[in-house]
Amino acid sequence: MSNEKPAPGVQRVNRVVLAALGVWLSGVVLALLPNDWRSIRAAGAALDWWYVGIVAPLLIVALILYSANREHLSD
Amino acid sequence: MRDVSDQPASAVRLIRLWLTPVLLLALPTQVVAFGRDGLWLALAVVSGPLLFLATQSRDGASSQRGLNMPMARAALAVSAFMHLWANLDLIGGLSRDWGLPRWSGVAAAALLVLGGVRWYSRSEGASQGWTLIMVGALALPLALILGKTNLNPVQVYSQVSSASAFRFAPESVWVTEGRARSARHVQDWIEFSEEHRLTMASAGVIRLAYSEGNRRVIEERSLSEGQELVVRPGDRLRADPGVRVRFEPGRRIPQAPVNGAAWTSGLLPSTQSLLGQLGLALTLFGGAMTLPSFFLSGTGNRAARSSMARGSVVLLVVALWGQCWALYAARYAPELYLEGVTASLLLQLPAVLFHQGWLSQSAVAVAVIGVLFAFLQSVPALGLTLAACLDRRERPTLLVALFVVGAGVVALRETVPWWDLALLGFGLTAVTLAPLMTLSGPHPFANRVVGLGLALYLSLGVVGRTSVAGWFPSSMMNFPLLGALPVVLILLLVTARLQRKSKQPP
Repeated sequence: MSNEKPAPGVQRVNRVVLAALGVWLSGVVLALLPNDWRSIRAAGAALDWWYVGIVAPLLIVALILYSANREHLSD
Repeated sequence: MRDVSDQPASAVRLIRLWLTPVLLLALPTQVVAFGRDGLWLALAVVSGPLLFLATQSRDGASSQRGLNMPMARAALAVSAFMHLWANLDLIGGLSRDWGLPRWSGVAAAALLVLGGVRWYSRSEGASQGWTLIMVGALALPLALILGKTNLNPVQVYSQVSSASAFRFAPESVWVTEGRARSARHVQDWIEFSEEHRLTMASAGVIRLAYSEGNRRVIEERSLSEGQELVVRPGDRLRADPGVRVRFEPGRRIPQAPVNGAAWTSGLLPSTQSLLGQLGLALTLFGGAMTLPSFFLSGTGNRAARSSMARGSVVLLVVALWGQCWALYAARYAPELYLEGVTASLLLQLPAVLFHQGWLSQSAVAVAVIGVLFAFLQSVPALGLTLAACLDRRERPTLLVALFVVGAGVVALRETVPWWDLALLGFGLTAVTLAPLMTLSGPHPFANRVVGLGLALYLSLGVVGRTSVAGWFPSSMMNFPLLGALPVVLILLLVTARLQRKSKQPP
């Protein structure tokens, strides 16, 4: 693997994936809050559902495919 | 017969093994039963095999480390047998719930596995086509439901989450004709949370349990058709098999969640939810990272990124299908909570929506075809994994036949629920193979430590099924991997360090 900086396109994808990971992790923290806190985030219940059901699987798939992509580029 | 290990590693091939009918039907079943808490299963179903492939692509040997150990191979073989048993049990249950003898479903499924084993290794070229048919057969009835209700899943979610209670609709069969509970749940008590006036739709015997002062009374009554019965909040009712009862429209469905918001927020208590989800994730991820390892061992090839992308699409579609099916079931067939949330009732969702027309039966039949395709794609591979564990890759048919017959015999009687069997199977491989994957080289006590972990895992699993363990966290009992895996990992670490220290010169 060379020490050259990745292409700008790859850097952009990198930043997007990191940002998405941050958003997803905050969603996981939100989802794992105890029941007593749930009234505080009642308005976010739908967000919570879509995080776990849609956003998180999509992000995980994107991350895994991206890592495969990066490995492919470094080969 | 071509050896399965000669074929290249491919994501679609792994997903064929992964998406058994048990895992497929557990998706909507868990979401309907536990609301948002059931969604973690969808997340694990999507991520588990992809993470396995991701580790394969970096280090092809890591996932196969330990496969030469007798303990690991035995655990893998037992796990494959349990998955076989779980799938035959599921098909047997489906056939019984649809009016056929349980044995006929088990026997037909066992024959399909035996035929599938011969067909399986020749079908690699057609595998993607078969996977597409499976996904299409599952998606088509859902598309028909979307067309019929004219509501997209987001709108259905809003309706369910804002419902003040799950109530009997005027057109529900429980209101119009009356129904008997399914054979699986006929022995369970129905607990009422508000007053109900019930009408007997057929004559029969019912048992009513109620409180009188400080004592609990169980009264047996023989009622004739048309007779009415009033039950109060806190009362419990059990009817003889086949006795049909009608409910009033607009009343709360007994045993349903309190309201839609409670369902969409998750129905498990927070401690149980957190530990339970951790246990489920550990078990499923552990299973996904270890169960396919033998099946894919010896390929020596990395899964191509394009293959992983295709596999991801299949997994995402299936996870989305499970969620949507559950959402529509909670909105249009909440009587499931009264009957018991079972796979067979969930598959009948189109019949509820299309009111028994020809389209309803066709849509249910298409969904069943999807499940059958999932069965044909995955379960024979379990048989081949079993044969490979016992070093019978060359002529596996006879050995697989013996195991299939064995699994069929134990599946003839309904003992352990299919989902519990599958989880136990995933946990078995996870507790033995996963710790071995973390080792960087040979370990002098690996076999003994893994054996100890296996014994601890099985003990926790058995104790969890008895009343002795009332004081222990239920999540630990439901997911014994939570207790066993850390012990194995710590023991491996400690014994490796002790070994290193003893070798150092004084």
